[in-house]
Amino acid sequence: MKNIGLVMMLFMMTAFSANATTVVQGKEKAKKVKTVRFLTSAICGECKERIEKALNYTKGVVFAELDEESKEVTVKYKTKFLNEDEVKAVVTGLGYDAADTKRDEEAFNKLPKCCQSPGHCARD
Amino acid sequence: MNKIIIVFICLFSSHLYGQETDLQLKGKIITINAEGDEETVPGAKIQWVLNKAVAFSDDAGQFEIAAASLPDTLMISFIGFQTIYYKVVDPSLDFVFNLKEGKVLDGIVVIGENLGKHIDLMDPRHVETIGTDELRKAACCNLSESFETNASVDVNITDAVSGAKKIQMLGLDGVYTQLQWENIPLVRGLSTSYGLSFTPGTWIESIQITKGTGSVLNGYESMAGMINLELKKPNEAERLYVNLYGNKFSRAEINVHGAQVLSKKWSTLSLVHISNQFVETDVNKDGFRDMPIGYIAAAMHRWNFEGKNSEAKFGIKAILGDKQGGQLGSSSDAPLGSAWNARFKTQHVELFAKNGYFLKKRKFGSIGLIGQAKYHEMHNTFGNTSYEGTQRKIYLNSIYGDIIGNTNHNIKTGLSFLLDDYDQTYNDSTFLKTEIVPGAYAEYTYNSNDKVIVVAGFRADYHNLYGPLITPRIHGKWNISKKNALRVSVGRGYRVPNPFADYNSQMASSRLWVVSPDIVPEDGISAGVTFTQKFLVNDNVASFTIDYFYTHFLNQLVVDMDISANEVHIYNTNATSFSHSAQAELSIQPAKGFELRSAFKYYDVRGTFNNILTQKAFVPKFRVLLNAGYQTRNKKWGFDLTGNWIGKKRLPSTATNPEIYQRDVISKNFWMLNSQITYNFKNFSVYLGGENLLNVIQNDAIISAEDPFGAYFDATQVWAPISGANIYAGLHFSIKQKKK
Repeated sequence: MKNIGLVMMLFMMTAFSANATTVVQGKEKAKKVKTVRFLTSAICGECKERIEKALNYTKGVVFAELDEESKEVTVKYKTKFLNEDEVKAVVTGLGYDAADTKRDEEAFNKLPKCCQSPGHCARD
Repeated sequence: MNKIIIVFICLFSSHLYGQETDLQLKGKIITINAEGDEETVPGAKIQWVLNKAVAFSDDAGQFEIAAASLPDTLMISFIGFQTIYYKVVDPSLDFVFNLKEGKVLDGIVVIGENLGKHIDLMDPRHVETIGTDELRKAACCNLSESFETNASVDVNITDAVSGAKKIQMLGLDGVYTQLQWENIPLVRGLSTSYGLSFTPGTWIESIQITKGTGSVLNGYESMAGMINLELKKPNEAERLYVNLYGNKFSRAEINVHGAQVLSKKWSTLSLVHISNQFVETDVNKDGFRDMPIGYIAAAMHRWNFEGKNSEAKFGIKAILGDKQGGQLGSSSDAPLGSAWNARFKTQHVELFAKNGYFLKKRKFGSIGLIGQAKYHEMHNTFGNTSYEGTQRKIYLNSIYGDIIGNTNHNIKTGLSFLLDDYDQTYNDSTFLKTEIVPGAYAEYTYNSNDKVIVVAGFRADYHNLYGPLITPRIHGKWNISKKNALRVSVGRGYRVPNPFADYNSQMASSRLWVVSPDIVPEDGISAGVTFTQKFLVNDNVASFTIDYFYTHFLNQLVVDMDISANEVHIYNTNATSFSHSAQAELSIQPAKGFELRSAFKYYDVRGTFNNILTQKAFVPKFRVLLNAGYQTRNKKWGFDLTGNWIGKKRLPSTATNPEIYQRDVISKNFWMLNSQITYNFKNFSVYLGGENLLNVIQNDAIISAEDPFGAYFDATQVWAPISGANIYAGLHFSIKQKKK
């Protein structure tokens, strides 16, 4: 049973280490990490995936989550690498509105039909 | 945005002809915003609850949906608003609905975030679904390893030679669980013993597990449970998918899939799998390979056609395998009397087709046809024992589905036909058997607004060798509230055994096989109660499920190892044999991305062995499953840890052996601990995992390992892992299909 406890602990430590680092950063360099929330024109799960993926793989973004019900995206990012406008630019560049910032029309036209208008979503 | 009112108006075209119905129900969906102004709602979903037909409101909030035969209930939903249900009896009226804004707590679908594994509250049967995310948590390797994080299916090693794994449900051997993929039979007949390893894990999109008896539509088998696989679909699968896997014991696998959507109607998918064990390993130092060396290659090519009133799925699947286990350095080519070798050669080809037609004259009428032709060949040797088997099979099933009067009453009925031609040789004895089983079934479903569903099924088959087989089954579900479900099921099931194939791995011993010449179908009744309650913890869905199942055999094929330590007796008996199985499972998400699951299982499985009613050997009375999964919020890292505690098992007596070849009659309890870490890059992901991390090894698993041709050799007394901790790594790479 000792072994199990040990492995469990190791697991928990690894599992939460990623979060732990950001917390420490948050305290010590409070100004360097910011969280921003704004509404998007996302429609479906496909949109959620596109927006989250693009943001999460943008340098300086700690995490990005889109709430499928409210279409609100939460982005935690390091100010050293980008600012709020640049975060929104990632979203508009994909073809979605980000708060009051209008979408890139060219990117919008390339989106799947379901992501342009909910009427085209074949399945939920 | 405090109170939003959605007004929903249906405007009907004037020509009405009772319930016969080409009628289009037209309407508009609007909302009153905070300023009190009227706004149209585009994208709201309008669905008939029973008919399932779906429509969406357009940019002007307008929609059109075919009003099929009534009454049926309209469900209008839009994210952020409460769902409206309205029973439409008289479509000549105009409707106005008032609702409040709110989180959707819809009792029908799983509320909150969709977990990798979930239980549906809608289905009349208790069905657990394991999705792709859950399957990826334990990335290795084939169907037998896909139940690692699931509590309802237990997986056991069959022997210390073949490396094969077998499942158990309700504490009963895997032969009593019916396995199929998309309603086509999967592991059946001669493939029963090793068939689980022939379905690569990456081919599987999801697995549905039903405890107890399944639908009569799928035949008279399924006593302990029913497992259905949904494999990757041509129209949805990745355009290109590559998976590589390698482990510490030199097992390497490669999976490549390619899908193409050719047109709106046609799509195709090819899947290729090769797995190979290169080097022999012997961790427990008994002179035997822990895993056989050799390969399994599998390929499938399938097509999808989706027309306006018909759909079709068809394709071909082929498997080739050749593995050699036994003593280190042994080979099947070596002359007789040299090192002990076991060889497993398999060839399998099958053609399959599924067609569905919607009837133009009857809105709810549909006809489905399922066909499968299969050829399965096995050549297995265990030392001086040899077994060869060939199975040729044709399976046909038809399903006519319709409503009776209105959508509260559904009927499914059809005819089925099975032809199984077996040709088996055990050492010098040959067994020929041809089974021809025509059958008919009917299944009536009563559905009261999805709250109460009762399914009564009846089927009658005529077996050319064993006469009529009558199968009654009934399933019921009641949603006491929107967040729970109480289910009951009672049913009868049969199984025609093939002892040499079903218990093939028992040949890995010097035990003399004493098989009764009069084998008859096994016959059992299974009854169960399941209760599921869902609740919210920190806005995340949690669920608690408790179930109890009782299975009673009226006739069972018993594998009796208690008569003598160097004999295995296989015979039919109607002596007492039953299983009580109870399980409690709790699944919660304490924080975002963090999921915990725990299950406790109790099995009391008894049978009459050597004329004494005793606990069935190798089945533990207690089992525990603990699973913890965590995914970072940016979805880049995933961690998973699974612990399986397996209690003590009764083992067959070895008292008649000389003292050095005797073993304990009760096994030790132990923990199996598996863990996996996944890192997702933008287009591919890599994973690193470990199995049996506590390095549990059953000592002296093989009795008389040093003298495998002697009278006491027995490699079938396995109750724990025989090779120690395993470390594996791999990657998934995929290019998704362009969404239209």
